[in-house]
Amino acid sequence: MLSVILLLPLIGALLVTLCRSEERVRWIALFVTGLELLLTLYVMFNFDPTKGGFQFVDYGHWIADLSVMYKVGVDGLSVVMLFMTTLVTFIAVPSAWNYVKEKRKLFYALLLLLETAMVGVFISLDLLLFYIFWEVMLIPMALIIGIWGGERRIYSALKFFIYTFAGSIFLLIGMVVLVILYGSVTGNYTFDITELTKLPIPLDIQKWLFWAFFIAFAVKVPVWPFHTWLPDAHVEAPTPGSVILAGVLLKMGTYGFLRFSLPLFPEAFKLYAPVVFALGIVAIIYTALVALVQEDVKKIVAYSSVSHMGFVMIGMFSLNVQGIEGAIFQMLNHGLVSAALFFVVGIIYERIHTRNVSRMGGLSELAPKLATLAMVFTMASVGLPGTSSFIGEFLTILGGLKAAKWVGVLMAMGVIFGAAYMLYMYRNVFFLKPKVAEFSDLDLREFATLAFIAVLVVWWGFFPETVMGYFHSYVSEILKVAGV
Amino acid sequence: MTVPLVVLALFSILAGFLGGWFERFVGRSVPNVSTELSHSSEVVLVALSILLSLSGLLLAACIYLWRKFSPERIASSFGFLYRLVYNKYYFDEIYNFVFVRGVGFVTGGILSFFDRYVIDGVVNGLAAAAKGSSELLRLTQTGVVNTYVAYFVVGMVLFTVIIWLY
Repeated sequence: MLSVILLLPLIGALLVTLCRSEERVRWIALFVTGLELLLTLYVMFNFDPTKGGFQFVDYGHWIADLSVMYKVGVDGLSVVMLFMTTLVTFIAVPSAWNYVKEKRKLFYALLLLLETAMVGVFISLDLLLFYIFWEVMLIPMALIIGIWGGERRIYSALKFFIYTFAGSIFLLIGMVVLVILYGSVTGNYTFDITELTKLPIPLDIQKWLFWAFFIAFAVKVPVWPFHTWLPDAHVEAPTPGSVILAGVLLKMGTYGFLRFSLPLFPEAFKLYAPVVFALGIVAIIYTALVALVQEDVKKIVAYSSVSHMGFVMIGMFSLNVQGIEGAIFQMLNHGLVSAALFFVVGIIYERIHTRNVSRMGGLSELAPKLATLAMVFTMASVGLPGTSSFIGEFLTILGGLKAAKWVGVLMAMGVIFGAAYMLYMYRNVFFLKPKVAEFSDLDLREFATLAFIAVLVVWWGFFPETVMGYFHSYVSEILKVAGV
Repeated sequence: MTVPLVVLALFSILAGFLGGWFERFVGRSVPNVSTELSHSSEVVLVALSILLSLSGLLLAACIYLWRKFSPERIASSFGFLYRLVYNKYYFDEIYNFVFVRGVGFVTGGILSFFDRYVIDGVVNGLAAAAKGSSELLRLTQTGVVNTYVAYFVVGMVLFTVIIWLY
């Protein structure tokens, strides 16, 4: 089943390239991503959350000489990440509908290729397989930024590519060291994660490996001070590119921490938690303040992403039930909310061709539907109770507070700054005096997509258990592995 | 404005009774964390707050309903205090200056500059350093065989000297 989910977008990409009509490819892409979402839902409904370990496992030998396997499977963590990936990609298609006007075939082919790579990252159970998807994902993304992006698209695409690639080199070195170490202890080699995590690694080797993995994942999250690729890439990327970047790609980093760093190097993970707390706090407050003074709406949303990922980082490293559950929930919630916010910014840009806050205003009178939905997402970003962000932020703050008082207190400060820049932005864009004469309200496609996300955001805000139920047993298991 | 006020008033009277329901609602997703005060201090707190609000109501009634004192007279005789309270202790102005302008926009501006020029400067600097060093090294690749032979000889001599020294 998982192999079908992995391959379906690839087949879709082929279909798109074979299609003659530039118009029809959009429908093919919508159909394929929709089908992909349905298949994921099938997996979710048949997933047994009470059982620990991996389910739906598919495997086969791949490179026998290196004992590299093709092995995929999902546990409580990856099943929800898989859901988020297919959901956000499904949203990305309508967000590209009119925004991408040139080379549509190539665009949707790359988008579907990207989906395969992203799905692969979240379901791979073989380290080398994971690494391959992790790197493959860079190519379509860099091309999407570089071809359909804004004015500085080449600079941003190159920066995104080199930055992430440079980080990944450390991951590759760490992997090789890890596998050789496993081989020297047990006598046979494997890249299977479930086997590798059983290996007890001496602390001084753990420390080195932890930092090697850390750099790769930290660039992706991004953790301050590795974040400067993000504002450039998000701002220059076309709307669907930003939607996927913020919605899915950032979570690959945090997913990596939970999937690899924590079970492989539990002692080092605990040892360096205070360092990560400090970096997380800096990310939360620093980027919130930077977001406050940005003129470009897209930059504000981009910086808010860095700030929100700070909560996820601290939640994970707090190593308690609330922190980790909150972190996973915050990953899902940020995937939805940031995707929606980038979509809103894209809708505004399509109509008035500016992203400058000072040149907008009064849109609530001209486009009440857009203003209403944007308000839902603004409130969600701020963390208002009743939206999904509240659950994520509250639990991560609670986790931080349990780990160390100062961490929780400073995180809560970040929430206030978050409210400041989001409300400031909302006021300047939607209230005040109108600065544009004409602005058409949402059409059916835009309204349906945004309303769909808004319903989910509120639903998760009131019934978080519908998703949290999937990873309760994963979290208690991972905490046992970490020895907490 | 009346309708929202009515709604808020209703809630402020009745919301306390939702306590149990609200706790269950939050408790489902959030594990129980509660701080309990001792029973006696709770009673004192409740009594104190009721007493305070009642005395406030009484004072307001004295001044505005029964007109026992003239509000204008009070205002003029406590000039400074009146202005201070009238302007809410200037909290809005202080907050606006310290937090909104100071912490918010001034620090934000500085950090934004730091982000763009210092952190990104290091990132772009690394790239520029790599590019610069390869530009320099490129100069050695002349394509002229004579130069390569010269490098070869210099290298051999250096190598011999090093081996001979150790």
